[in-house]
Amino acid sequence: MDYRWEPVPLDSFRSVKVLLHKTASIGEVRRGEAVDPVDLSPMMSQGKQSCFDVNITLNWNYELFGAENQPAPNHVLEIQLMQAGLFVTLWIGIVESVSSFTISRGERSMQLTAKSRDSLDIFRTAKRVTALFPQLTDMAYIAGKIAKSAGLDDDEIVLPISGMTTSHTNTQLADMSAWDMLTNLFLPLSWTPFMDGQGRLKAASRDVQGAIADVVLEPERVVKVVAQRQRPPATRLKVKWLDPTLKKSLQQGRKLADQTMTTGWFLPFLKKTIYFSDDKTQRAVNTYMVTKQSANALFVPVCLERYEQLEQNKGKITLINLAWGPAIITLLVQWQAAHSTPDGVSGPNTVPVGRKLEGYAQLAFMLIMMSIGTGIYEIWGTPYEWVHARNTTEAFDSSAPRWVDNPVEVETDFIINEQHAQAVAVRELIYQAKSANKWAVSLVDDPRIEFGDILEFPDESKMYVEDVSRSIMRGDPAVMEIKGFLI
Amino acid sequence: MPVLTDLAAAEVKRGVKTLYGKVLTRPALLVSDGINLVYACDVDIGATDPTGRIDQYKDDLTGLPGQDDWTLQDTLTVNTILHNVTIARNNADLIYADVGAPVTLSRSMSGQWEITGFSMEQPGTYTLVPVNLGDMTIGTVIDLSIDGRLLTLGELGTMAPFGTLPFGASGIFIGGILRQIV
Repeated sequence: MDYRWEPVPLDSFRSVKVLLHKTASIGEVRRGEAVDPVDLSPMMSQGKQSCFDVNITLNWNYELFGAENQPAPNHVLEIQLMQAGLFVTLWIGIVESVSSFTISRGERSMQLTAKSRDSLDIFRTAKRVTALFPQLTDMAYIAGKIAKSAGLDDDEIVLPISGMTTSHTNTQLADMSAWDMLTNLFLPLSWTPFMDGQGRLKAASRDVQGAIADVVLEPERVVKVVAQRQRPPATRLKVKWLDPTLKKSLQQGRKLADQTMTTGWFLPFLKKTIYFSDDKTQRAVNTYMVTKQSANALFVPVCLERYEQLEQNKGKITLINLAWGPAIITLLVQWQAAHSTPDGVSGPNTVPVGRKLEGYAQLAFMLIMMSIGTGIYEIWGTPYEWVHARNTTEAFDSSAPRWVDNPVEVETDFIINEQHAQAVAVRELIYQAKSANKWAVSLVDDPRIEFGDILEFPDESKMYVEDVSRSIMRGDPAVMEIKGFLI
Repeated sequence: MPVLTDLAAAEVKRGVKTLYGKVLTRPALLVSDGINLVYACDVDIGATDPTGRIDQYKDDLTGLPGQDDWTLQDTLTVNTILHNVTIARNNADLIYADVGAPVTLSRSMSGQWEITGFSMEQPGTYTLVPVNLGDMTIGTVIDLSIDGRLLTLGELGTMAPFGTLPFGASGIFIGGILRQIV
């Protein structure tokens, strides 16, 4: 709804100005800052304005002679209607083309087509890439950024509060036109982007179920109603969405790594970090060590063999030596002490006591020196990855017979969860199914009505407005044509 | 039997060359060319059937708005699964892809699919919401998500006399209900 306007009284006639601005921008025209507009309305022989374009035919004498005076692409065109004795801006667009330029004896004419700014290539064709938006970025904020990159000012972005944020860690839209970006962004919000008559970005709700009427029409304001069905209604709507919650995917348990390690009396500990893949990125659970050959394989126990998982992608093998350096030093001291022990014979044996002591110390020393072993170890476990699931949520018309099946598929990565997906699927199914039931009505002009409004007729049926058009010829009856669908 | 005759050649929209799938059966030496051994497995590629998965269930579903619940007939088969998809050579890790693993499938020039790697994306849940556009009522949500996983020890003991099903058997579940043991 454009609340600047009041409904035109019954049996009124059009009082209109069609102004061409050669230098002003859309913003300057909207703010009333534009100077030197050229009024084309006295030269118009035909003229029609809709939400998206304006087509006029100009017949002129000498006014538009010369390149400086003639309309040209990229000039700004403004339509003004009379309200309460003042001309008020109804529609602002940009001249797209000047065609059928004819000069002959008795005839000088041209046709001019202007489009709303969202019809231009900067919105519809030029592919762009957005910045990277972190999680919990407001959707309307992203839409604003996209709109600004396409040339809109802050006061030209009039979006409602979205109440919804991005759910993925990082979000970036790429290789899409600005309009496609906005359409994608607004789908989970059940919005449709549109430019209002003043060239400002707005959003219309697509939630038509139980919608409250914006305008309740009195019987005398309805001139004519024409209904048609252009295409079969959608019976199924699939929403394919990327689940923001990562899912753990386990693989079969298998060998992840192997390691050969040698230790001995010369090391108190030997620690080795083991990654579960060469690139150090493989994650695994339930990892354990399989000893293919123990470092204690010889008769002498050399070490304790331990394994522990440190992180999701690595573990640690630790070999703890049983007899290490300081023990050898102690034994060497003992050995030296044995050398100092005086020989003597105890009992009937003739082996000197000192030599026995030396032998014991030597044996212990040699055993420690033999404490060297090589172990071969394997690490086994269950590798896993965190992956995204692309879910499908489908709403279908359970009352439709099978032979009228008409599926529609939409993809979006802005769905938060399953409940959200179901709500979007149901809303979109209702919208798409209803939108097949086209209506065209003629009403006494009401400039408040714009794209996305809901009209209620005297019989309480409701209509969703998809386009508004009207004659912009001076003196024509103030009647508007509305296209949309019955909801 | 030649290797390729048993492979699925699915018609998939837009002529895509790559699909993301979810392994439903453990890779095994299912097919052989006599000399070299070829690993293959079944893969869920999501609901890409252009007629929609609902079509195959529609006659078998009860529980439309006003009814109590949805039931699936036991005789139903799942036709969105590619069967016996071969695993590309020199992919030792892929042979260890377990049931439920996300994989990338590539299509050859002749139309056959093969598993060429793991992926970061896989088919997820599949839910249906019945909406009666006549009286605008919404029915019970139906879960037709396909899942493949190893059967737990408890399941092995309760589905059949304990010991009948081998340890390590896996099952295909639709909406959380076991439909097939593989």
